[in-house]
Amino acid sequence: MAIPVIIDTDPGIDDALALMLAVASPELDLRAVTTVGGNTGLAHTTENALRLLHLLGRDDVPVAAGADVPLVRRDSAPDPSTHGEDGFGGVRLDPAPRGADPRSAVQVMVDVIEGSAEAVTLIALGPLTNVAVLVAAFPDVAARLERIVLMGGGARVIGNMTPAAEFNIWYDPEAAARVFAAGVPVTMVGLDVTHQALTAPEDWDGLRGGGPVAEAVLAMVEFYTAYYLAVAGTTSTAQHDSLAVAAVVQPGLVTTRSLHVDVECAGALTRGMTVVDVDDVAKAAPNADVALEVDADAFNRLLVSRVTALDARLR
Amino acid sequence: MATEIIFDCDTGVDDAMAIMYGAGNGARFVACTVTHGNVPVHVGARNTLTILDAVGLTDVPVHQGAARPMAQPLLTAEFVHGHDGLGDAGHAPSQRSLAGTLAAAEIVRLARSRPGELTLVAVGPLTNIGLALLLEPELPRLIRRVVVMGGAAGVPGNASETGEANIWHDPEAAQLVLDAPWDLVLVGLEITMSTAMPAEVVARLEAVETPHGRMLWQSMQHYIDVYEPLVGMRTCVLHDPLAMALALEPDLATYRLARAGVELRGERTRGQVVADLRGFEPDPTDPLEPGVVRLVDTLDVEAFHEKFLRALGA
Repeated sequence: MAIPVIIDTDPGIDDALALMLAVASPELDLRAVTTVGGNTGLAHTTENALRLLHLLGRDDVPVAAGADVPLVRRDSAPDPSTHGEDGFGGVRLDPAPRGADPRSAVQVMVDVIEGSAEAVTLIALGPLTNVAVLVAAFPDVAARLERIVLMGGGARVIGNMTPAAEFNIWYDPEAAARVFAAGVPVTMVGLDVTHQALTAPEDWDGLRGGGPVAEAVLAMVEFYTAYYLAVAGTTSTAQHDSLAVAAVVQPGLVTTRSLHVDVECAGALTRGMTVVDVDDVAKAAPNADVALEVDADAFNRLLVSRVTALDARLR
Repeated sequence: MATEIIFDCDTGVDDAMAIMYGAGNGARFVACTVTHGNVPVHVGARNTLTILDAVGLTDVPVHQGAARPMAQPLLTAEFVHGHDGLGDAGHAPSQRSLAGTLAAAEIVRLARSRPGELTLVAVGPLTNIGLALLLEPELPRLIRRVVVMGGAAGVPGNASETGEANIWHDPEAAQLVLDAPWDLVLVGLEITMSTAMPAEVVARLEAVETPHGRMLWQSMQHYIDVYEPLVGMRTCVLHDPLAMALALEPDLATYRLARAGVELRGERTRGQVVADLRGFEPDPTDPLEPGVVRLVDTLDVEAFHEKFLRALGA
């Protein structure tokens, strides 16, 4: 039976591919998409989620807007160089025939979790503001989750936004700290694995001449690749968020270790860093399954084949 | 020409290894200066004399220095180095006297008297070096080169989740040292943890017959007890000797320049060396730029082990 999932996201180019992978995967039952500010502001991420689901023929999936700004941090800002001002690198998708759900993101999470006979998996692809509010305000509901699978942080490869901090955790460190401490099972898919699971522009060659989904993917990948080329000197890109979804679709893709993870909320150089006790120096009880290795080829095949098949399904 | 060295240490089992490595590989010890760290400073000073005497360096002066870190309480690591700091192997301490001058003042005096000639090798918390920088702002210009054992760039720590012991024991002093405009090699856990001796090296060490080699082997047993569960075999890594080795023969390794700082404010990360390893910008090119350090990129571990063994008479 398909795994019921809620995806909390800030689309975002890699979020868009991750949502495509989720929709294209029969292993998952996408019950709701909730949005958060991060890669770009909330107005964009919500509109992007609506348009993307419309493109994918899934106007039936509720989209609910959540937090636009972090819980505490006041100096985080979106990342227009990676995702463009609009979050999709200037790629225009057709407007959806509907608006966002009138309920808040957290209320939709609660309703889906309470309304599901099976335990729901919450996949978090952006800053953890909404998820922190869920575990803070509705701990009994959060406790019914199967697990939270989040893209963020790093154990050995620790930083992309700063030398020590990954973007999602950096954006709202207090929220992330709250989520790791919540007592809900957490799977952390961080830079240790996303930086290994790279896709090259030519991996998407099968999409050329394809339908509207293929066209959108190619245009977004082009923008995303140009950024990587400028900053990292490589055309291979990390599809961070897709790996978090893939880790639910095919859990065997990543190898995890049960470790203690906390988040630095005060450091001058390290604020927003996940502090992962890889060598058990602090002897604290593990609170997360941290992905440390990935079958990059298998991930790549899964992502590309599933996304490539989308247009045919929509016809 | 022999490399002339001021050796700042907190002796300590691996400090003892470093002294013996240096003595057997052409180091000329101009002075040893001692800090708190592995053990209280008076214990480390006595141990430094004992080890120098064991390798016949009975004329190298030993100057006692800082008794505690600049901005946090003293913490020592007898659980790693033994109560006497030399593995509780029962070696008789040296009866030689300490030199009269305090460590930081002596570092400044020596640097002023021989500008540009001396290499500073620091293998303990950096309190003495930080104090010397405060006393003599021109110190970076007066010292030829600095090699520090410290930090854990991009790898887990050993004193905390993210902190390596030497930096973690005095983060403020470490920040002063990283910020100084000198050519500084930071020899951190990212490379020292790759120096665990393979079984055949350990076997040759065990078979050593020189008196100083026997002495070191006996002192190492407690240290090996600590490293055995970490490495998965009866061996240990060679933190401090690697700093000495790279001071004497820089070509044993290749380096990359990186910008680095010490986290001073973190709740979970105080004492972490944060180096920018993202590669988003070209690596810096000027080692004298404040905050720029040399990190070891590759190391000839076999050659290093061989030189270590030879220094002990293996």
